[in-house]
Amino acid sequence: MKYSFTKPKEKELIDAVTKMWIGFIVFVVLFLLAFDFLIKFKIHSIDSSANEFAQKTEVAKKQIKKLQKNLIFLNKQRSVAENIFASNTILKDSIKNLFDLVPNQITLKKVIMKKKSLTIYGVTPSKDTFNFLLGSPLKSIFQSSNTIFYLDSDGWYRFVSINKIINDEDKL
Amino acid sequence: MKNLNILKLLIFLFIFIITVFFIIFIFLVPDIKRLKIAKINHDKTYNNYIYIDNNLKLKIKELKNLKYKNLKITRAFDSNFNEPDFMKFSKNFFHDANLIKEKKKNYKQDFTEYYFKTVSKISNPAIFYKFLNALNHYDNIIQADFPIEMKAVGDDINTTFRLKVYTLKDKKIKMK
Repeated sequence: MKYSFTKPKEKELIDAVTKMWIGFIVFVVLFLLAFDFLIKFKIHSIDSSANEFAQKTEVAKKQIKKLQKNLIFLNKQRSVAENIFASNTILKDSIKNLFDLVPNQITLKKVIMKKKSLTIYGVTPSKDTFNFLLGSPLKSIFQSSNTIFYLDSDGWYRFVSINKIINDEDKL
Repeated sequence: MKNLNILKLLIFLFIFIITVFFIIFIFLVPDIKRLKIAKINHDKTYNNYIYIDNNLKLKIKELKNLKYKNLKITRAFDSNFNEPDFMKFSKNFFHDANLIKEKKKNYKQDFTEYYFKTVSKISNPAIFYKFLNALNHYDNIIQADFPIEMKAVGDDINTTFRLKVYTLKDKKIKMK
């Protein structure tokens, strides 16, 4: 039995406009959250890259430290070797200079060279020959220079010349 | 009906604005700030890395050059001192040469200094100069040192002098 001549319309629980609004809001929210997710992902990626560079920096720093040690050691080796080479050259020049000082008239029998002293044993025709030709240059090199002469049976003089370098520190 | 729609519109608009503002100010703005800080931090770290890496490259180049220049010296320090080889070398200058080991000392932390007394005969002093020149080109780092004694015996000069052999701390010497 009918009470009305009109048919009842089907009424939706949520109307089309509301659905559109909800859909729009959900879409915008999802869009914003996705954008935020992208930002978070980018931050993570940048932080990872920064960490990687920080680690690489630490490794490079350690390597630099190691290389620096090697450099210092190599420079030390070079400096020690160069000092030794220079010392050998100076020694050679000193001995050469000493023998160049000795005139033909004087014959050396024995030479003892120490760091701060030079002792020469030899034969000279006269005291004057020694004093003029060898004694004077020795006196100009060494602070202390003493010579003892012995008259030999052949009329020549044997001599012992002791020459010393006295540093100011040694005098004190 | 019309009034109801406007009210609905206003309510949804209000919800929309509140939601968007909430997301922007609670999530997006702090994250954008974090992103900026992360970028600044990254650039700083990257620039620092580039600076350190350039330094490292320079050091590697410097070390390579120094190693190349010091090749002879490094090899000389690195070689073990071998007495028979040295005697062979000294025969070019002396006859009747003898090497007597005296003592061993540490030198400047990283090196060992071996003292030897050398007794030998030379025919004239010029040979000794040649020996001293050749010593600087020998396979080891060796210093001739005082006391030096030269005594004329017949046609020869008996020569006694000290030799100091320098090696790296862990290196050994080989005697007869």
